[in-house]
Amino acid sequence: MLLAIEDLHLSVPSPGGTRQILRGVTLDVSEGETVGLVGESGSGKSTTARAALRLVPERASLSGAVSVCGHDLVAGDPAVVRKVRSELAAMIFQEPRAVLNPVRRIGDSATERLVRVHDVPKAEARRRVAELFDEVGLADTGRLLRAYPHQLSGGMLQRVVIAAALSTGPRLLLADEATSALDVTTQAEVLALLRRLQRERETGVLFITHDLQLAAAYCDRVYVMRDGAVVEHQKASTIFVNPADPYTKALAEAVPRLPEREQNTMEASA
Amino acid sequence: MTALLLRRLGAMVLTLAISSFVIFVAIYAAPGDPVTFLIGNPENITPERIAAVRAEYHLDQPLFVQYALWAQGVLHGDLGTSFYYQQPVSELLSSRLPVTLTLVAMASVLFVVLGVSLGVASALSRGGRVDSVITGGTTFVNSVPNFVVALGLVSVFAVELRWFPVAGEGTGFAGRLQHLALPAVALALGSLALISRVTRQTMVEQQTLDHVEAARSYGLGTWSIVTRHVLRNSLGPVVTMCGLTLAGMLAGTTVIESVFGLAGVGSLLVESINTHDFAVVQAILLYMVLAYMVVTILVDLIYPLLDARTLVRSDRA
Amino acid sequence: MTIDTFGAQVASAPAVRRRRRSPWTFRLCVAILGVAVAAAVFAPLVAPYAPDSTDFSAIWAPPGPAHWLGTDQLGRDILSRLIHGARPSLLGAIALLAFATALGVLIGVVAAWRRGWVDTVLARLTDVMFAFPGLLFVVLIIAVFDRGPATAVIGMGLAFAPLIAKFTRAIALEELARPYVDAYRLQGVGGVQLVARYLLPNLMPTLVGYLVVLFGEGLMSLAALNFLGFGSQPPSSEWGLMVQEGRAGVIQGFLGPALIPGLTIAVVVVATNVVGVRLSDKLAVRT
Repeated sequence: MLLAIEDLHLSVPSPGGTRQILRGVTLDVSEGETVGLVGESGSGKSTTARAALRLVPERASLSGAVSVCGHDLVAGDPAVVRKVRSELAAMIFQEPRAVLNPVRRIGDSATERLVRVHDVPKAEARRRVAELFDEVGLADTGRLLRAYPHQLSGGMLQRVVIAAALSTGPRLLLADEATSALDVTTQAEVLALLRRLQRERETGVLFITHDLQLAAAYCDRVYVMRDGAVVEHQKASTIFVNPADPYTKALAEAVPRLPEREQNTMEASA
Repeated sequence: MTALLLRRLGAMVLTLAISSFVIFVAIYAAPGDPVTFLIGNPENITPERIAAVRAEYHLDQPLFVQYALWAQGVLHGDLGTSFYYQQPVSELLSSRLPVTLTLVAMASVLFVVLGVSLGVASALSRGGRVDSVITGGTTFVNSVPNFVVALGLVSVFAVELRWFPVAGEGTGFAGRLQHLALPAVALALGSLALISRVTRQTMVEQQTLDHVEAARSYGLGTWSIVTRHVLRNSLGPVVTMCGLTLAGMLAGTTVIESVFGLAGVGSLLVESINTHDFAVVQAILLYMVLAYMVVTILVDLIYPLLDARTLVRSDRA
Repeated sequence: MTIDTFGAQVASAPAVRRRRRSPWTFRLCVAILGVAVAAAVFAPLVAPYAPDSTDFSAIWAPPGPAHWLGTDQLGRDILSRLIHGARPSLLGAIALLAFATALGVLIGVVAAWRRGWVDTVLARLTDVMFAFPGLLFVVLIIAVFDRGPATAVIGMGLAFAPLIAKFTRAIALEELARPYVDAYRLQGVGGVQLVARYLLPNLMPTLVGYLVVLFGEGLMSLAALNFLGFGSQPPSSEWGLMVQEGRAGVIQGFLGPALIPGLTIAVVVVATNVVGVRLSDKLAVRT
């Protein structure tokens, strides 16, 4: 098991007591598997994914179990957290433009984790990243490494981010709305790319999205979250056919009336 | 980049021309006949003497001609002659400048190092005790007039402890450093609050950005995150603020120089106002405007090196 | 703030520090200001000695029962001079702010009201004034009109005016965007009347909070000018001038005559800042 989360509770102190963000989340991801995590914004899906890297608010209290490749993250042993973050799991965030440091060159940002975390010599790191750039379909890598983020398109940046995430050979990828900010064509390309790389490397993917249809089409299994709890867990192939939970049903039925894809396109082009 | 540079230089030349004219006209319009100051001893005032002095200083010419003559001289490095010292103003200035520039340089090193460090410490302990001590302390120091700070430093470190001399600018490199240490501290203390506040504010804003979270997600160490992401990305505003402070200091050493009896440009300004030595006043005001503008332009030119995005923006503008 | 750092401080001034002070600090600061104002008003009644009465038998006397804060180089009672100095010190800063406010509010409101080229010209003008080191105005004014309290106040006022103009313009623009302005316009209320009767009163609370914070800076800047000898002249016991006169004693180890008025300025400035920040938090919903 790559990622196993069991009965995870998370709360943060708030002005009127404490606020429960996660109320007993249980999910798992195995090698080579793509698992969807679907929910509206505020449902706790991002927090769940972040808990897998122990990226939780400073004063949050955690209970339950989170383990990545058998390493327990709830205890928060710094060495374990560091090992998981640097070697075992990698996160691909929603907005590539915000994730790359705007004042550094692409090459510097993309090699940062190799050079600064894994002590790979700079030239070697650049060579490896350039190879990965090739693999994710980025051309003219020499020029690219010297460019600044503001000089590239969103699609190119997301490929850069993916290449950088893969550079350390993680076994678990946490894709948090990784394609939501892209336009439909680019989204399809990036998804195909992720799928190919994942097959080659036997990576497990936790695919977080608000788009139930996309999750059903792209993933092997799908979890649906609402108000900090998992309300549905099914094979992707059956989730539209017989949704067990009324909420999933509502989500599924909402699709024809409010085509999510179209909305996505509008958001991306806006 | 070159277009930006040219535009800034053009604006600078224009501002200099305007401000030199304003300075010239203001002094020209000053009540009292400069001739009386020029001649000095009232017994020497005879019609012939007055006419001779007027002709010598072009006082018989119309305003614009006088300004043109003066501006022409300035462009050729001739700032006129001091009525009081009977010495070319340019010589006077260049003998006073080293003290002021050394003082400002020392103060700048102090306020940049201390101010930024305090700001970083305060940002990293945001909301904690260190943060409130730093913010409270610097705000308090900022509320004490700098001549009072200076006198306090003198009474403690020069009079009581005798670690530093009370006044004067010293000779030789070491002597100068020792003599200017207290003045530099007094000058720098007033800027600490501003620099540390700007550093803290910018860093706090930067800390919440996604690329910082991303760096944390791949296990980058805390120190690297602070230096490579948070601090690095805060440099733009921090460097700008430091530059503006430095520029202000070049024109604002007057009080400190007069407390410590330093023979710098600032104390020369006070002396020449008191002696109605207008050629010197004009020259110093011009120097101050020029110094201020040169530093602010340098800051503008450094900014794109720190943040490449600004280049795109300013090219569009 | 003193005139030395004026140019640089300008840029941060609108960023009013918002920090919660505990109530007792606030009350202490109000009390300090109250004492300073009382001293300014009732100086001759409460001061133990006349500010200029010399006592050559007690030169540089240390604090004691006869002279609570000691005496200066002419044997003058420091406490009395301090009390008498409150009036010129505070009045100077008030006059400076009044002049700067009149000018700054006028520029700011006109710029916000007329917009278009008027706004552009005024914005350029304030920008140029901003770009100049604040001290230069003062020096220019003093060089031209000779020194004296009035010149110092006017020179400093000119240096402060752009700050107030910029602030006023910003809050006036916000206020002018509110619906009641259009309502009055539709009723045919003239521009001058609208500004004077409705706009200005609504800007007042925000402006007052800002001005209180500026007051501390004005007090310091004026004290610095007086210290340089450009403002009040002896025998005035304005606080900056007192520091200047007490300076000679510092080298000989008599710290009181210089440091006591200096610390007085500092305490009053800190108190004004605390009260000012609190006031602008309370008076203004926006900042």
